[in-house]
This record gives sequence, structure tokens and C-alpha cells, in this order.
Amino acid sequence: MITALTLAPVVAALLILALPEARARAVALAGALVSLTLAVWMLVQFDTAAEGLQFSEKAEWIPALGIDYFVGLDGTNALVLLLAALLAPLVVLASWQHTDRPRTYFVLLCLLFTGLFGTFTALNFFHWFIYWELALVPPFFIIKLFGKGEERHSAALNFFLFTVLGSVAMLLGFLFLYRQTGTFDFIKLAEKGDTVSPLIFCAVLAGLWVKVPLAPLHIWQAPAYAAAPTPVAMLLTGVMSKMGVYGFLRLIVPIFPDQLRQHAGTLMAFALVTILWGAFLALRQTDLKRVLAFSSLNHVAYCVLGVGALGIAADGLRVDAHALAMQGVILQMFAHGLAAAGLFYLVGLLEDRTGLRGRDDFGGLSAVAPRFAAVFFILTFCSLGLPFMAGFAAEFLIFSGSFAVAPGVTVAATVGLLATAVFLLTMLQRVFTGPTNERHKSMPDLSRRETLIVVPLLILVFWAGISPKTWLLFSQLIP
Amino acid sequence: MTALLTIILSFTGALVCGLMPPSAHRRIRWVALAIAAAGLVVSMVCCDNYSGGEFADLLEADWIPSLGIGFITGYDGISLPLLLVTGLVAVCGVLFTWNLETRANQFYAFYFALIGGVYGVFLSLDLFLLFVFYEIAVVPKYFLIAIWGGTRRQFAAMKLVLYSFGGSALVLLGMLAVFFLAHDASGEALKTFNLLALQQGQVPVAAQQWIFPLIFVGFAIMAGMWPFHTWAPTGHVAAPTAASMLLAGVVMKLGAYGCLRVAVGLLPAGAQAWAPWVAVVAVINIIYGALVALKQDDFKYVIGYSSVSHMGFVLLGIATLSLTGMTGAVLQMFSHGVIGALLFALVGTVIYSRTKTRMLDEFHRLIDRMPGIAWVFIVAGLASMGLPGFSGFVSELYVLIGAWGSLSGWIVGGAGLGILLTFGYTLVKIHEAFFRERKTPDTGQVETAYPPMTLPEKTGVALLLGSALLIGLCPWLLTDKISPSLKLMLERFPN
Repeated sequence: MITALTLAPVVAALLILALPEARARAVALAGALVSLTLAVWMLVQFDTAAEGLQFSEKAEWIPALGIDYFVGLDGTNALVLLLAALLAPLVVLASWQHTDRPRTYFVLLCLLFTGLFGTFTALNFFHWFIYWELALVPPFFIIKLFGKGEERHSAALNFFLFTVLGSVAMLLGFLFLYRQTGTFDFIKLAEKGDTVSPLIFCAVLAGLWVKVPLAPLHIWQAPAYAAAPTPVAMLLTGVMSKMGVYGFLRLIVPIFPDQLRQHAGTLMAFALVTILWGAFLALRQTDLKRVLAFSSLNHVAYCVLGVGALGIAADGLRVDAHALAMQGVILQMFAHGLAAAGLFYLVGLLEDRTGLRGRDDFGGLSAVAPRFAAVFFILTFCSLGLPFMAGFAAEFLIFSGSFAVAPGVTVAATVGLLATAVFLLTMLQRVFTGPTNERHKSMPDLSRRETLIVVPLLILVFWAGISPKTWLLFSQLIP
Repeated sequence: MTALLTIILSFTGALVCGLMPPSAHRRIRWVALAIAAAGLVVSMVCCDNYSGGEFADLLEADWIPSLGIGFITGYDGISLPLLLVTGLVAVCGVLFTWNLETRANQFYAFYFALIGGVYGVFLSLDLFLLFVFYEIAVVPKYFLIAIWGGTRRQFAAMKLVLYSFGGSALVLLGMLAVFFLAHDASGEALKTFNLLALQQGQVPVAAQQWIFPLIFVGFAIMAGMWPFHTWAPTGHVAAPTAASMLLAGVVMKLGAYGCLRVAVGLLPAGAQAWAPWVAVVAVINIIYGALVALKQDDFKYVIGYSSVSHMGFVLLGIATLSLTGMTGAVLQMFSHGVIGALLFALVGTVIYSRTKTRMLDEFHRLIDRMPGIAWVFIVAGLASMGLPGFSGFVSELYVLIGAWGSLSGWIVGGAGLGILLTFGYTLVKIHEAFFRERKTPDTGQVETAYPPMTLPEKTGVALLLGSALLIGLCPWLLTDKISPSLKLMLERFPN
């Protein structure tokens, strides 16, 4: 089941290569929909009262090295998988009008989907790493080939080199770990106990640090997000940044609990720096895509704050703080994925229609395009953490968890919330209120296809905000 | 007897092609393709029949009994992947030389003589015989480069031959020392070149200390070991495509195979003493090759130095003297053989025949003008870079796991740095080759699209890339054969 979900986009990619170029987008959409259907079906069937892995598949792969093909679903990855599977068809729809070498574009996009699905479901380092790297290559080429502006080449290269630097560190870390434990299996590694050297911890941490990213290794992020074509920027911010956080939950928390507890303070400090620094940078930007990129930097760092809290609370004395932080991190990944991808999409639409994306290039758009403005407001408020929306529920859980174990840091992090409010509201005000800019008087509102893309996001944003329980059920039994 | 067919087929092929009239180049290429394919099929049959561990298909005949020289052939899990890669590259070499017209008969005569020599080395189980085949392989290389080559071909051909003979001289000295000093368990001198007998006997430990570097360095020159690697880039660049495919894909493996089979296999104590130094040189190979590749403007030189860098992983794997690391070394020989040959074919024929230049500065937005070829190269480049899913990743993984076990962390860190540099130069060169606007002044030519790949080119690409992907996803197809044989070799090691 999981294998089929993961490989459906690859099959679609092969079909795209074989079929006429005009069919590319339809085939890509079909592949993504197959994955989405399977993902939804699995989540419906998911037994939230059972501990451990479900839908797991295991087969020997390279017995000599003790490598298995091993995939499975549990509370940690259920929601991110759904997020990725949901965004996949939306991203294809968002690229519906893509006319520049569509075959290449959609093949790369499909490969990226497989990389993402695989990263979230694989439980053995060997093929997990295959997917992890697979998710890295297509965006590099998409940014390079289809990105905007001349800086796309350097943006792509920086993106790739930073991430690969982290990947190689992680690879070396896992080799070291393999040497000590004789296995690449994530579940077995978690059972082995915490006897590993701090060097391995640092190596694995480095890989995730770049991917999340946390300061100071975030400098690849804003240029890449800004240069990427909008649909891919949606995936980058919506799903790829979650790969790093998911890595924290899947690798750092179970495999290195003692190391994490020791260094949780440092980790939270860096998360705090990233939160504040991200918000500060976002304040200073006028390019909307860069505002969103730094806002994403800031929001994903809340997840890492939660991971730090998990680490401190893992001594078994503060079980509720641990559960709160864990559930918060998982919900925040989901919530931020929805809101950030939606916002990037909307800014992309603005840019397509007007050729502009400066914060001060617009004004009074709510009169011109009321539906567009409404959706933009909702998603921004979700980002802000307004109650009854997904972002609030998630951030509330994270802050409750982390306040219990590290009140000082948590209070400091709330300054980030304030700054977030400032730059997001400034953005809304400059773009949507005030006198309407003459040039944009005739800007069309959301079309039917565009509405179709944002509606699922809105539904989930409200659903997770009003009744987070449905979603928290998945993560309630994570030890 | 089956395996011997590869040698017989190749030398017969050389003869047949050589005797055909030069005007019949269309017929010659089909004959050549048939012979090469037959060789590949024989290798695959051998691979299928082989169950692992001991030597199979042994054939022993007296040759010069008074000197303890026999005609002994056979193969085991170490030689099998190399037989396969030889067969594959031989077939693809013909496919990528499909349009050769100048003196095609002689070209293929030399081509198959070289391939016959290579098969011979991989199948020989007598040191003297191995050495004879090793020398046989040198001569055709010279002519292939000197007659059909490109840039500075005379110089490159001569340099290659001098380095080869220099290496051979060292090997010969070492072999003679082994011949005179090896004794069996009871201490009686063996006086034989028979590899199987020598494996059972031993060379005095003190003597191994000085014989090992002789034989190892002698062979490693052909494997592109720093600082004796300089023949490789010049030779690769000057050679015609089919020959540079063979050089990178197979000939460099001759050297590595010799290091493994003869130097390490017969002189375990020497290997143990020298392994740390070999590891240091291997890491220098990896890093130095990558750095120099980064600075090259000629596309073929980039690939040439990347070969030097990748061969460093083979040497590193051998230096681990552990089952995992050495399995990685043999796997890397296969992997680089396939991918290296593919890169040379793409740069030397597929791209060059269209652009008429190999200088990266003169390439102009090739991704738009030859999209299919550009993507094939990009995938091949990523495979060479060690992207997970392709054979290069698995072999480097084996080598690194082995290296963690037996060598210092600095070595592994150095190799890790090498991997990073590999990522760096691969991406930079892909950018320069396909995405960049030309840097030289515009010549006013019309920027049209280039013709797509021809059928032989597509077939060759599919074969090579397909094998890299197959072994990347199903490495056990080869490792199940390699490891048992290496285990037997390691069991003979003193503790």
C-alpha cells in the first residue's frame, strides 16, 4: 500500500516520458491523485487506538549489510504524509498553465513527489536516504530551469550544496552508527539504547539543521524560495521544510534521547534565535516571497522549539509536557504546511497577474479581488495563530509543552509571535487596504481552478483549528 | 572452458576484423558488435553459473613446466564483475563508434586485441600468464590512441605506454621475488608462478614488506594512483571514444585488479603493514582528482580527473582489508567501469560529434538545444556523483563502512570531504556545460537545435545506465558473488 503510494508518481513520470507532451499535466495529476487516494484511505483505516506501526511492509534487500526494505505508518508520519499527498495534486493543478517544456517539468515534479512520500514512510536508512536525496535533485533542476531571474542559478546551487553538505554529514553519522550497532533500521536503532558518541549525534543533527533550516544555516532558504516557480515554492515551504522536522522526530528523538536531553537547551536556544531572527528579517523585507520565506523560517523553528521541549521532558517525570510538545510539533507541521503553501500560491498568483511581488506595489486589492483577499486574509491569520485556525491549536500545544519545561525560552519566543503579527499585518494592510492602485484595477479574481486549489486548504485549516482532536488522535500514542 | 571463450572470441575477432577490407566498414561494425555481444553473453553465462567462493571453470595446462609456468585460467567472484563490465563496455564501445569509417578494420583489430588482453588478465590464474596478457593489452592502446586519437595523441600514447611499462617493470621485479621466495607450509621453496599454489604457500613476512610496495605500486600506476596518475587524463582525452571508454571502464580496473589479486592476495602481511599508507594515498586521489576536475575547461579532462578521483575509492576499499570495504572496492570497479565509460561516451562522441568542441566556454545553452542528451548526461553525472539508487552510492557506502571499521576517522573524514567535492564539481560542470551562455565571443552562428541521439547511442546509454541502476537497486546480484571469494582471501590473512 505504502509502496504503491510512493511509487505512483514514478509510474506517472515514466508514462509522461512515453506519452505526448500535451498529456503530461493530466498524467501527473492522475499519479498524484492515486497517491492522495491511497493516503486518505490509509488514514481512514488507521487504528488510532493501536500502538506501533501500521501498514508496514518489510522485505530483505541487502542481507549482507542487514538492509531491509521497510516502510510503515505511525503517528509520527501519518499527518505529514497526508500533507504531502494533499499538496501533490494541488501543486500539479497550480502548474496547470505551465507551458515551458512541460514534459521535463512534470517528470521532475513527479520524482519530487516520490522523494517526499518515500522520505516520510521509509524506516531503513538505506532507502530513506535514497528518497531523501531524490527529493533534493528535482527542485535543484526545477529552480535552475524554470526559476525566475538570473540569481536562480546561484540559488539552486546554494540550495543543493547546503543540503548535500548536511546529507553527507548525516551519511557519515549513520555509517558510524551502523558500525556501532550493525543496523540501519530506524526502529531497531531506537531500541539499541543510547550508547552513541556525540559525534554521530552532531553529524545527524547537521543534516537536519540545514534541512529545517535553523540559523545560521538558513541562508540558502530565502533565495531558493524566491527563485523557485510558485508550485515548487509551495512544496519547498509546505513539505520539504517538514522533512527536517520529521527527521528530528523520527531520528533524533527516538535514537538519541540522552544526547537530545543533554543538548536540548542549546537546541531550544538556536530555535529561539531562528524564531526571532526570522521574524526580524521578515520585517525588513519588501519582496512578498521573501517575507513569506522568512515567515516560514520563523514558523518551522517553533517545531524545533517543541522538539527541544520533548527532549527535556523525556525523563519520564513530565509526561504531559512531553505529549503536549509532541502533538504540537506534529500539528504545527501540518498547519504550517497548509497555510504556507497556500500563501505562496496566492503571492505567486499576484506575481503572474501583475508581474510584481513587492509589498508596496499594490494597495486596495480587497476591492478588486474580494475572494482572493478573503483567502489571503484567512491563511495569513492562520499563520498568525488566530484561534479556531490550525496554526493556533498547534502553536498553543507547543508553547504549553515548552513552557512547562523551559519557561524563559518560551516567553522569549512569544516575542517572535508579536513580530510575526507585525509583519504579516503590515503585509495585509499594504497589499489589500488603502486606495486601489490604478494599474491593478482590472486584476481578475480567483478563477474556478484557483478556487479549487485553495478550498481544500481552507477546509483543513478550519477543521484542524476548530476540532484539532481528529488530527491529534493520530499522534496520541507516540511514546 | 566457458570463460576461456571470451579470450578466444576476442582474439579471433581481432583477426577477422583485421582481415576484412577497410572499405567494408558497415559490415565490420556488425561483426564487431556480434563479437562483443558474444563476449558479454559468455560473461553473463559465467556469472549465472557461478555459485560463489572458490575458483570455477578451472583449466590447467602445462606451458613451461621447468619454470613452474602453466596456462591456468578460471574465475571467482572477484573477477566476475570485471568480466561483466568488460563485456558491457566492449559492446557499448562499438555502439558509440558506429560511424567510424577511417581504417575500421584495423581499429577493431586493435580494439579486440585490447579486449582479449583484458579478459586474459581477469581470467589468468598464473602470474606469468597474467603478466603476458597485461603486456598484450598495452600495445593496442598505443596504436588506438596514436592513430585514431585527437589532441596531442602521439604524446599521450607514448606517455601511456611509458607509464604502463614502468609499472610492469616494478610488477615483474615483485613477481620474480615472489617466485624465488615463496615456500609452502613445510618451508620448501615452491618455485612456481601458479597463483593457486602460491595462495596456499607463503612468502616470508620480512620479504613481503618490500615486495608488496613493488607489486602494488606497479599495478596501481594503471589504476591511476596519485602521483602516478598523470597518464590517465592525457590518455583518456587523446584517445578515440571507444578507447577512452575502455581505458576508463576497464584498463584502470586491470591495475586495481592486480593490486587486489596479486599484491594483497599473495602478500597479506605486506598489505597489513602498508595499508595505512595506501589509504592515505587513496584519499589524496579522491580529493586531488576532484579538485583538479573542478578547474578543467575541457569537458573530457573533467571526466578524466573524475576517473582518478573515483579510482581512489577502489584503492581505499582495498586498503581497508576488510570484507565490506573490499567488496565495496570490487563493486566500485564495476560501477565506475560502467558509469565512467558512459560519461566518456557522452562527452567524446554524443556531445562532441554535435558541438564540434569540448571546451566548456564555447558551449551555449545546450539544455535547450539538445535536451535529451543533456538530461542523459545529467542523470549519468548524478550517478557518478554517488546519488543513492545508482551503483556508485552502494559501492561508496560499502567502502566507507569498511573504512570506519579498520582505518582512522581522519581517512573517512577525508573521503567524506572528497564526496562533497565530487558533488561540487559535478554540479558546477553540469551548469557550465548545459545551462550557461557561451563565454567566448559570439561567432554569429545560428543557434539551432542539435539532432537527437541515434539508435546505437540510445542503446548504449540504456545498457550502461540500466546496469548502474540495476546494481544500485539490487547490489546483491554482484555482492553475493564477490563477498564469498573475498572471504576466502581474507581467511588466509595472518591475524
